[in-house]
Amino acid sequence: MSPPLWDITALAVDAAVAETPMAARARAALPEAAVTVLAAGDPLPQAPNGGRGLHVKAHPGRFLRPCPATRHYRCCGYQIIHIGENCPMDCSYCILRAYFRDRTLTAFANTEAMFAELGRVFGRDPSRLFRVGTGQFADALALEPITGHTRELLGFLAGHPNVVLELKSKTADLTWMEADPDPKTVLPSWSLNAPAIVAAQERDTASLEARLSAAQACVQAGYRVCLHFDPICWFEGWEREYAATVDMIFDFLAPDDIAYVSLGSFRCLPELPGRLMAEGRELPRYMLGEFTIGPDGKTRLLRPLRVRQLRFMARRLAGHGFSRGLYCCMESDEVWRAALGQAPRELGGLAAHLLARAHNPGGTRPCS
Amino acid sequence: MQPLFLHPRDIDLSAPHLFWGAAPDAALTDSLAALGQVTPALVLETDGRPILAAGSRRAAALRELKGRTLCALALPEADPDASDHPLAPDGGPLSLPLRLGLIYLASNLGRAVTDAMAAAAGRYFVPLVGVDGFLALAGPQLFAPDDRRGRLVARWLTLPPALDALLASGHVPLGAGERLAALAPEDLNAFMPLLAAVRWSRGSLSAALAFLTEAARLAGETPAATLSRSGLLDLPGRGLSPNDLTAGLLAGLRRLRYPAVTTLEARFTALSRELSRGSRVKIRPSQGFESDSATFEVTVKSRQELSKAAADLAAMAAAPALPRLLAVAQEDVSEEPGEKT
Repeated sequence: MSPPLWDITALAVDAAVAETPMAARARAALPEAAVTVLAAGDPLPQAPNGGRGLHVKAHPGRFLRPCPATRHYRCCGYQIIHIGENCPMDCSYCILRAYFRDRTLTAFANTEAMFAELGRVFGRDPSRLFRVGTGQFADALALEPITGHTRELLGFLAGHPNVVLELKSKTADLTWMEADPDPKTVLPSWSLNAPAIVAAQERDTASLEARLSAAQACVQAGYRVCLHFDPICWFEGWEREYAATVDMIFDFLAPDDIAYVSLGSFRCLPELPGRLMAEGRELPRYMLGEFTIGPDGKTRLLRPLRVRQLRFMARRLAGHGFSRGLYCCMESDEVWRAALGQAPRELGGLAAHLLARAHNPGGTRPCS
Repeated sequence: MQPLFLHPRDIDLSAPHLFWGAAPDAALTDSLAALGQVTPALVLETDGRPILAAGSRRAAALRELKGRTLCALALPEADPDASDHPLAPDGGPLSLPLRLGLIYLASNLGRAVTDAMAAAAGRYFVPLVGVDGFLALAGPQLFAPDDRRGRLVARWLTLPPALDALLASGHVPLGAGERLAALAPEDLNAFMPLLAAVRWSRGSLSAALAFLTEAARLAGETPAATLSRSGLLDLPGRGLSPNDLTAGLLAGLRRLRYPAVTTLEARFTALSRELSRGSRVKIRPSQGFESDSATFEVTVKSRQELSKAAADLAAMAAAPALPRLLAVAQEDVSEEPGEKT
C-alpha cells in the first residue's frame, strides 16, 4: 500500500461544508484517512500513525485580499485569493512557520461564497485587469490532487478573462491543467533556489529539475511561466550555487517563456529562528547572516550584502537574455537602483508593470 | 547525645561532606578565645572514631588557640529510624556519606545559600545520588519552593568543577551554565581566560558566547580556533578598566560575528564625527542602514543654542562628508573602514 498523500492520515471536515464537492473530493483522494465531521466548537482530532491532518472548513472572512506588504518597501501589488492555510512541504525559511499558531493543513471548501465575492469584484468592471494568486498562505498546488481547489477556481475564472491567476508552487503538479483554462489567463510559477538550499532546506518539495520540467510542459501547452528566487540565501558559495540554478532555467525555458522573475533576499519575522529551534532543528547557516532589523520589523540581510545578491542574480539572468521582467520583492528604491539600475517609478510603478507583464507577453500596457 | 571533648587536630576538617567549610575569621577566633565555645559541634562516631559532621570553622579556629578542645555532640552512627527513612533514595537506610551531607546541610539551615554554595553542595551529592536525587534530598534545604535555581544548579554541575571558583568569585553567573555547557570542552577551555578576566552578567556572557560560536560556525572552524586568531585573548593584559575590558571584548566578538555590519557602523561613526565635530548635533543612521538617510538631533535650552545648532547644521549641509555619510550603505562593506575616500 502506498503511503497517504502528504502523509495525511486524518481528514476533519466541518459539518457546514461536509456536503461540498471539495469535501467529497478530499474523501475520495484520502481513502485511508480517518474522517471526522466536526460540529461547531469540536476540537480537531489527532492524526493517527504520526501523520498529519487536513481540515476542510469554511472561511468566514474575505477571500480576496492584498498581499500583507509593508509601506516601507515596494510591493508588487499581488492580490491573494485565500484558498487555505499552511503547507505540507517543510522549508526552513517558510514564513508560515511564524505566521500561524499551528501547522494544520487547512482548505476552504465554501467555494460558492468565494466565487460570489470574486464575481462581484472581477465582474464590476470587465475592463479592469487583475493579477491574483493563491500561493501566499499555502502552496498553490500542493493539495490540488486532494481538494481540486484550483480546477474549481479556474472553472469560475473562465468567465473573467480580465483576471490572470498566478499559481505559485514548489511541486510539479499539473493536474490543474485538466480544467483546460485559456493559457493567457494562467501564470504557473515556481519558487526556485540554489541546489544546496533545495536539497537541505526544502523538505518534500519537487526537485529543481522537476519544477523546471513542469514549467517547460506548461510552455509547450501555450502558457508563460513565472519564477521566484525568494528567498535568496547568503551562505558560503552562494554565487556558484545560484548561478547553477539560473543557468539550469535556460536549459528548460527561453527568456520569452517567462513573464516575470522575482528576486527576494531572505527575510523573516524575528521569531522564525526561535520557532525552528523549538522544533529541535539546528539553525541553518544562512540564518546566521549579517542581519539587521528593517523599518518593517523584519530581519533582513544587511543592505549592501542584499544588493550584492540581487545584482549578481540580475546580471546572471541578463546574461541569458532575461531582464525586462525582473523585479525585487519588498525592496526599497535604494536597493532597486543599486541592483537593477532603476526604481519601480521608472517602470510606471511595480504593480502596473507586473500587471502589464502578466496580461501581455510583450509586457507593454494593454489598452483598456 | 553525649558531649565529647576532642582535640581539634584529631579531626579531619577537609572531609568532602564539609563542602561549605571555610577558614575562620578573626571575629570567630576572638569570640572563642574570650567566651569559649558556646555552640557544640556535631560528630558521628564510626568504629569509635569521631567524624566531624558540623562545626569545621569552630574546630579550625580552636586549632589556633593553644590547649583548647572542641566540644561536640555525638550523633549515633546510624539513624534508629533508618529502615524507613523517607529521604533515602532507594527506600533503604541512608549511606554514611549521604547522612553526613544531610546533617551538614541541616546544621546550616537558615543560612543564606549563595549560588556557589548550592553548586558546592551539588558537587558533593550528585556523585552519591545523581542530579535528581540531589534535588530531591538537598533541594528543600537549599532552595525556596519557587526558586528555579535548583535546575540552574543542576545544569551548572555538568560543567567542569574548575568553573566553580569563577561562580564563587562572581565572575560567571549561575544562569550562564546552560550556555557554557553547550561549548565543547576545548572551546570552554579556550574561553576560560576571558571568563576569568571580567565579571560577566548573564546577558553579556550569553551575547559574547553567541557571537563567538556563530562566528566560528560561519568560518567553519571551532570557537577555540576563532578565538585564538581574534587577538582578543590579549585584551585582558592591556590594563583596561573592567567596564572598558567588558565593552572591548563584546565589541571584538561582535566584530568577528558581524564584520560587514560593524564595518558599516565604523564608517558611519567616523563620518558623523567628522561632520559634527565642534557641535552638539548627534547623527544617527537609518534603521538598519536601510535607506540613504540619517537623523540629525540636537537638544537646545536657549535661543543662542538653537542659533548655534542652526549654524552647525548649515555647515554640515555644505560639508563634503555629508553625501558620503548619507550614501554610506552604498559602499562595498568588504573593505575596511577608512579605505575608501
